[in-house]
Amino acid sequence: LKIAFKAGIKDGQLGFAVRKDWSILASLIDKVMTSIPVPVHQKILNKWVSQVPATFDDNLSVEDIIGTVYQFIVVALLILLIIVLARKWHQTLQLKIMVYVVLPVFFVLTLILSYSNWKNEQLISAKIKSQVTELSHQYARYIDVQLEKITQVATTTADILSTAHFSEQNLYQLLQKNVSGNRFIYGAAIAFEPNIYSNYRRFSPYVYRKDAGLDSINIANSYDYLSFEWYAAVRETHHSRWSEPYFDDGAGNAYMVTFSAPIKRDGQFI
Amino acid sequence: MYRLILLIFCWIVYCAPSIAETADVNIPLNLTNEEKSWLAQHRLIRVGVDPAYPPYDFRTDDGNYHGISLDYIDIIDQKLNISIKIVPGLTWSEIMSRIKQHKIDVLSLAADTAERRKFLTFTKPHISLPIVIMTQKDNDSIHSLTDLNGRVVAMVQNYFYVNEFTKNNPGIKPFFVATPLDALNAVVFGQADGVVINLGVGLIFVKNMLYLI
Repeated sequence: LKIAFKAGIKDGQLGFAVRKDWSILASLIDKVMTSIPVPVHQKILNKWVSQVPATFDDNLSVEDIIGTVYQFIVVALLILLIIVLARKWHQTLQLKIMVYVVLPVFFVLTLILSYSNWKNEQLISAKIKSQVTELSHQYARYIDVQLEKITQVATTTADILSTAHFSEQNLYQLLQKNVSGNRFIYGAAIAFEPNIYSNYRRFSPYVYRKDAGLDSINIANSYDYLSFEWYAAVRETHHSRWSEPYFDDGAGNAYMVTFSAPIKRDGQFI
Repeated sequence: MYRLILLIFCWIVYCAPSIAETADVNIPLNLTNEEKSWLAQHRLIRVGVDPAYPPYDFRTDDGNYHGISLDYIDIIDQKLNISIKIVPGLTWSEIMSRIKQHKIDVLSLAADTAERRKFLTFTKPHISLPIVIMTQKDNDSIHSLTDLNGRVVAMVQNYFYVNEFTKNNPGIKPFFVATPLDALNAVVFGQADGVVINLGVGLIFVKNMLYLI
């Protein structure tokens, strides 16, 4: 997705909204909102706007980084302080306390901080992972439903043709209806075994999207469909199936996957 | 003495960030008597929160509500010392119809429009965001509003921009959905050519790695 352009309407001015007969509550909320200092407004905004990490690598918020840098500066300052004091008091008790107590304490503190930062990172990426997984499941379900609809279109068409005899014109009309009825269908074809359809030796009417509308052709004029997976595999097994993705050179001229369902008239594959 | 001062100095430096955080409350509100007595009579306030408008308002899978508005609601709740209750499980359209029937008292975030003023009183806006059109990344045929003529444009039912946008652009075919995510999905899956969306909300979904495809 990309941002194309502004929608040409006024920017949304968003605030709280109160039912009309309780206007007094609106003024109360206004009073509270104006009593909140600017830094707090800013903090709330930053919390939610920076809360969503841009990428997997960038999952530490600016606040975290500033916090860490701040801690390190403090530690450095203290070490500096110790050195200054050491020069002042040579081998005094204070120095010994500094060296044996304060230094280790800050060493441990630094360790703890690094650990908690590392832990946060882990937590955030785990959270993102679960979000993404949930989303991909959601999309998978969505695509599943769409694909299921497409298989129904194909099997219904096959069922109709197993009993009814259509004129050439009617076949094209049926296909046009199939394609225009579902945005996810790029093209639809009916293919007959050689010499079944009387007017042609090989006949496969095909309707597909071209520019803004639909176009119709006989695939047999473009290539020998009998050897193509979408036809050959169903002819062999007599079962409906999805093809692998392929480039349809000559007919649709696009990358596609095809669902094929067998048409059987009186038990015979046609 | 010298050491004591140093120690205190260190302590202040060390704690400065957390002190800054706590120093924000307790500015007096100066409520009028009328306001005080109104508050005394109305202890419970029911608020409607859009479940699908991140990062401003949204509900997570566990049913809890979060977002910028929720942080403000917490502050208002504390400062006015009242009980603000979120009416859970409603879509935006349901929330809008309920506030008209006074089954909800407050909307946590709503845009100010003349039409809505008939039944709502708005506070001063605290968020201002542009409304934009988003399309598929490789779509080169839509560059301006006129290119949208005859195209399918996804928008969320009952969002404030719907009336103004459809009135300004009568040539478009509106495709109504329930949430901003559904609207973006409609574009990604080709059911719509474009989507009208609040820039902030759109960016959150895109940033959230939903649409790096």
